Amino acid sequence: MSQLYHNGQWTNDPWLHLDSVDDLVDQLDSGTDRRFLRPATLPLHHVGRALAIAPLPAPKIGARIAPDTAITQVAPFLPLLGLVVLEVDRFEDGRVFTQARDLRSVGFAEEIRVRGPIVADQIGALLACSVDSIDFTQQGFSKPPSQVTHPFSVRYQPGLGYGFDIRAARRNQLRNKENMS
Amino acid sequence: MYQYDTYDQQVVDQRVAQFRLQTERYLNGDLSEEEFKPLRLMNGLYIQLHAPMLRIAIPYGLLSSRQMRALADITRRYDRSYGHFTTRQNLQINWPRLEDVPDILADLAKVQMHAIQTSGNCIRNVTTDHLSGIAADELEDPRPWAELIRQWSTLHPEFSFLPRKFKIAITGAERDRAAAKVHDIGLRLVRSASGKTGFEVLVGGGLGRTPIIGVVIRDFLPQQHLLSYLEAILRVYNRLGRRDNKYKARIKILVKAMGGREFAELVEQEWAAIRGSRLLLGEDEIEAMKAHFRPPELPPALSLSNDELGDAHQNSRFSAWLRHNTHPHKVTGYRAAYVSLKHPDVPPGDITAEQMDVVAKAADDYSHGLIRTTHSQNLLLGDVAEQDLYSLWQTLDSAGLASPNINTLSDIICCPGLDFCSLANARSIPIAKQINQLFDDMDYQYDLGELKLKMSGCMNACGHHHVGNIGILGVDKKGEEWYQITIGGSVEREASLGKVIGPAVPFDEVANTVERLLGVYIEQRLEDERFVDTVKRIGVKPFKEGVYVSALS
Ligand code: SF4
Repeated sequence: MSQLYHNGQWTNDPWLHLDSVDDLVDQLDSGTDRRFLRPATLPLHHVGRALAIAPLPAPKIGARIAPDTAITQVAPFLPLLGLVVLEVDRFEDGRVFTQARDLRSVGFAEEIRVRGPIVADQIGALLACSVDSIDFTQQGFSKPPSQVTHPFSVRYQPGLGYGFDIRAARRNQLRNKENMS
Repeated sequence: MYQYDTYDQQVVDQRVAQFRLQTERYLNGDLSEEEFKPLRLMNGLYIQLHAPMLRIAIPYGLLSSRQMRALADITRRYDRSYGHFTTRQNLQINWPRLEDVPDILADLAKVQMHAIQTSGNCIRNVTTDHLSGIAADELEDPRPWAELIRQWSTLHPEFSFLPRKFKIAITGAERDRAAAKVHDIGLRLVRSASGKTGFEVLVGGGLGRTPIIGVVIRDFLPQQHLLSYLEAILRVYNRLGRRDNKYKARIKILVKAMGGREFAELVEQEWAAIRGSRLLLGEDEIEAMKAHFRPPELPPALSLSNDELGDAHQNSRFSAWLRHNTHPHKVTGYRAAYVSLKHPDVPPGDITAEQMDVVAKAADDYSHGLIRTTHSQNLLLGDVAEQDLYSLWQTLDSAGLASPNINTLSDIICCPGLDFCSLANARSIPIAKQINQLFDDMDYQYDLGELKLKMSGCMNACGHHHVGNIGILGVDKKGEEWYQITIGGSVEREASLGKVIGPAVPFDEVANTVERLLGVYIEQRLEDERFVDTVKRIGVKPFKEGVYVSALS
């Protein structure tokens, strides 16, 4: 059963998650037309070589990074990546929230995914921080209802991925008032 | 006072609905104990020794009389008809049932209150000076800024799983009554040479196991950048704060390891990238927020000195209360009046539901319906006309709320300790009682002058013992309760951490040890010298000798 939550839907994962460049070579040598190979992620330290042997456009390559990886370490590859997976061991590890925002702030526009034992209650905050998809790794994870994944329709923090922006609304109110007077 | 609009109301209502569902999921097994723990903590719910404990937020220590009545009702309906005010200006109730907590939160939401982020590894309730808007040494009222911070930090999606808890304090006055220097972030309103208002920013202060005074990382932050700068600090901390050891996870450890200058550089780099973002505060937004905190219209009132009031009423208990429990107001003819929650027979900071109602009525009758909570676990009515002070005193006195002991030895600050807290090493409430019994002579206490005695039941330092003029810390020695004593801590003017006087003393010896310390002080003090200043002048040694040598002889 898929445990991937993407763009508000529970879907199957189109990506392969490989551990080494050899695994990628096996894929490339499998005889399948490269255009039809599944896109693949690798740990960050293999990504440079992976991109060298599998240049764009296909298959797409993604990077998997640990919570202590600075975004500056991934930055050189970002224009070539189709996915960055932020991997966590513990759901309390809040570094992924900042990593995701950092990725967007340096202009990465492709998919950002978090993978780990995430609690469904964290989904809303992850989406607000620009995460596109979440891969739940715990056994027997049951899909939660939307009240759990999206408890808030409004938020105080401006410029975030989802939720009605309270400050922007109030600013408009203030400016309208000013224009009226 | 800030009034919610429909958006604020939506936030708290949706938070209640979210927590109701989380509680249901936990109770029917859909959320594990481990998963539920951080979720409930983020909403102020602890599982304590005897029952859950719920910590209710009182943002920057400001309450309306309506809210106080609602709190009284909540303690009657769901608890044991009393509550406990904390050193961080919040209210704790010690006996709610887990199943009732969502209903309690719903009742709180009806009066624009909540328990959001009163615990957990997130940005906690922002605290400030209880004399905001009253004190003569104030540059500007910090509360509009505190409310802007409250909103920005409420349910901030990026900062809900920080390495550790995160506390922000803000002060607008010369004298730091908000203890800004011992907070993760301390903000002090200052004016630039060109007359612009902004903030001095300190980071990395804190008490707990590793008490540290914060370092200044920016002398002047223009006011419109407040939120972007805070966000920059939090991002650096969230990225780099330690997560491998919870005792080393506070920002103070990061700042200390890295050095203040290097930390400041990282913050500045981060800030450069976001300072022009939508976090920038508009002049109109700032003004709109300030409008919520305009001082009440105080009609001209007769200015009356303590002597005049004393002569008029001929009551020595009232005169003592006047001298010790009222504070000058910047408007002539008015004072701020303390409601003492330090009755000798009651645990410090505790208040019954009936007393809450009395305070609410007194606030309506004498102080524009507003109540403040203080870091010393007392309450304050901010704007009382001097001609009303006697009636107010009568009201408070008849409810046991007029002990004339503010800033004296018996104005003890004390955490719940082993009687309620599962983390405690030792009891603290019975120690407060022991001290109150030994020092029941108020004239002796007045002679000692200003003295802050602070006590914590364990290293977590909820009672802020490090910054007590006398600090008492409960320690566990082979299953027995012992107490380590420090002297010379202070936070208001020049912040300093107390120094240990020597080996810990047993439970029965704590009050006697305090008595011996005070004996040394009385012997050594110069005229009008406060206890803390004597310690600074002569050092710890004479006190140590006074305590341990005289104990042996
Ligand atoms: S200082 Fe320790 S004993 Fe006291 S309330 Fe805090 S955690 Fe509990």
